[in-house]
Amino acid sequence: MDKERILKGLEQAVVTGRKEASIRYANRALKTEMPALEAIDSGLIKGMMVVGDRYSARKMFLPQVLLAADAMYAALEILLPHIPREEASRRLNIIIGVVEGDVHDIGKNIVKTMLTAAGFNVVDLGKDCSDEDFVKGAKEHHADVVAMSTLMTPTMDSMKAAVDALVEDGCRKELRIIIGGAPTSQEFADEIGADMHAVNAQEAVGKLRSLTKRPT
Amino acid sequence: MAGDLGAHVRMDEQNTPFVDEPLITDLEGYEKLEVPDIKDPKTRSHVLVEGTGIFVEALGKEVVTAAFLEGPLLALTQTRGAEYVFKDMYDNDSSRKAVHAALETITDYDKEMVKAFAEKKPAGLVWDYLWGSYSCLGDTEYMEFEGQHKYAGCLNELVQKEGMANCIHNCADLPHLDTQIKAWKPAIYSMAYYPLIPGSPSAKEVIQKGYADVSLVGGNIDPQGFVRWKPEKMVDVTKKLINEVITELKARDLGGRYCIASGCEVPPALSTKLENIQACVDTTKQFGTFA
Ligand code: B12
Ligand SMILES: [Zn+2]
Repeated sequence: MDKERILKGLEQAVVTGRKEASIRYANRALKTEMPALEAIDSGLIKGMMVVGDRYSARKMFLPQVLLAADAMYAALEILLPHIPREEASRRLNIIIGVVEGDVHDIGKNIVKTMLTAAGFNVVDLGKDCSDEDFVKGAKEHHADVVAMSTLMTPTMDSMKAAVDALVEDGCRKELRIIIGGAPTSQEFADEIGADMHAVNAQEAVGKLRSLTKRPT
Repeated sequence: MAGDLGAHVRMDEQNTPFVDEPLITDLEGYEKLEVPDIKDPKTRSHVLVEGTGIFVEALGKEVVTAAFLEGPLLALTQTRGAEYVFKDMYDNDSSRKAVHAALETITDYDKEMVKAFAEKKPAGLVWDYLWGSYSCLGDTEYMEFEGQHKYAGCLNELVQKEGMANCIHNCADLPHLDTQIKAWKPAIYSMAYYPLIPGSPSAKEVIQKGYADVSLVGGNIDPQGFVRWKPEKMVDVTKKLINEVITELKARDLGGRYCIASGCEVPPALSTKLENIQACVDTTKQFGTFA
C-alpha cells in the first residue's frame, strides 16, 4: 500500500471515527517503515484538525468528536512508541484536570484531545482534582504546563486554591498555567496568578504552541 | 433517577448531588435497565413525589407549583456517563440499538413519574431536557435520541393529558429553541444566557425571534449572582433585564410574556444570599409591570 493511501486512510479513520480502521492503518504505516511522526502529523492530526474545525463550526457534534478522539488515541498508542526519543522529549508536557468540586469533564476532554492532536504530551488528572492532585501531578509528570478547567462559578475558588498550592510548593516558577471553562476569563486568570486563559480548545492550542520547553 | 436505576450518587453537604459510580458499564447494561418501583419509600423518586405533594398542599393556593423531572436522555447519561452514551449512539448498530433500548425503559419510568406527580396536583411539570444544546448535539442527533415522539414527544403530551402545564428547563449555552419551543410549545420555558459564548441567545433575541409568542420564557439572571453579588448589583441587573424585556415585548405587542428568574437554579448553597433573592423579587414587583 502506498504512503498516500495510508496517510489518507489515517486521516479518514479519524474524521469518520473508526477505531478499527485507524489501528489498521497505523500498523500498516509501521510495516512500510513510514516514520511514525509522519503518520501522526500528516495523517492522524490532519484528521483531528478537520474534526476540531467542524465542531467549532457546529457541523459536527460531540458523539462524532468523541468517536474521532477514540480513533486518534488508538492509533497514537501504536505510533507514539516509535517516534525518536529526542523528538518525544522536545514536546511540552501538559497536565490537565477539572478542579475540586466540579465534575463537568466533557469540555476538559475535548481540550485534552485537541492538545494531544497538536503534539503535546498530555496527562489527564481527571475531574474533581484537589490542590494536591495538581501539585503531585505537576511534579510526577515533569509538567511544563498545568491546564485547569471549571464550568461552575463556585468552584472558581478551587482554581485559585490550586494555583496557590503550586506557588506554595515552589514548583509554580517552572510552570505555565492555563485556565478555561465558561465562567473564567483572562481577567480572572490575572487575578489568581495564572498565565493564560483560552475560551476553547482551538484557542488553547494556538496559545500553547507559541511556548517553548523549559530548560532542564 | 440515576440513583433509583442503580447508580451510586454522592451527596456532599455543600454541593449538588452527582453520580460518582455509573451503573451501566457495557452494552448489556443498557438492556438490563428496569423501571424502579417508585412506590418504594426507600427510593428518591418516592421522596420527590411525596415532597411535591407536601409542597403543593402547603403553597398551592398562593404560588404556582411544579414538579421537576429529568428527561430520558439526561437520566441515561447520568446512569452510564455522558461520553459513553454519546459514543455508543453511533459506534455501531448494536450499541445504537442498546442506547435506544435504555431510552425506552427510562421513558416508561418517566411516564410513571408523570402520573404519580399528577396525583399531587401541581400546576405544572418541568422537564430538564439538558442535552438539547448545540454545543453537544445537533438537530439530527437530538431528534433521534430525545426529540422524537416515542420519547420527549409523548412525554410532553402525557403531562398535558394529566392536567399539568408542560414546562421545560434548559440552561445550556446553545439551546435547541426551534424544537423545544416552536415545535413543542411548552407553557413555560426557562433558559440561561452566556454572554461570552457566541450565538448564546439573550432575552432580547429570544423575544425578537418570536419564541415568547409561543411560550412564557423565563430566566436569564446569572445563577451565581445570587451567591456572589451585593444586593445593589442584583437590583441593577434585574432592572436592566426588565427594561430589555419590556422594550421587546412592547415591540411585539405581547403583554407580560416573560418571567424574570434565575437562568437555571438559585444555587442550593449556604453562601446563597437571601437578600439577593429578595432584591430580585422586589425589583421585579416594583418595575416589572407595564401598560
Ligand atoms: C452537560 C452539563 C452537565 C452534565 C455534565 C456531564 C459531564 N460528564 O461533564 C451533568 C448533568 C452531570 C451536570 C451536572 C451539574 N451541573 Co451542569 N451543565 C452541563 C452543561 C449543559 C453543558 C456542559 C458541557 O459539557 N458542554 C460541552 C463542552 C464541550 O463545552 P464546555 O464544557 O464549555 O468546554 C469548552 C470550553 O468551555 C473550553 N474549556 C473547558 N475547560 C477548559 C480548560 C482549559 C484549560 C481551556 C483552555 C479551555 C476549556 O473548551 C471546551 C471545548 O471547546 C452546562 C451548561 C452549558 N454550558 O451549556 C451546565 C452547567 C455547567 N452546569 C451547571 C450546574 C449548576 C450543574 C449542577 C450543580 C447541577 C445543576 N443544577 O445542573 C451539577 C454539578 C455537579 C458538580 N459538582 O459538578 C451550571 C453551572 C453554573 C455556574 N456558573 O456555576 C451550568 C453552567 C448550567 C447553568 N446555566 O446553570 N451538568
Ligand atoms: Zn439548569
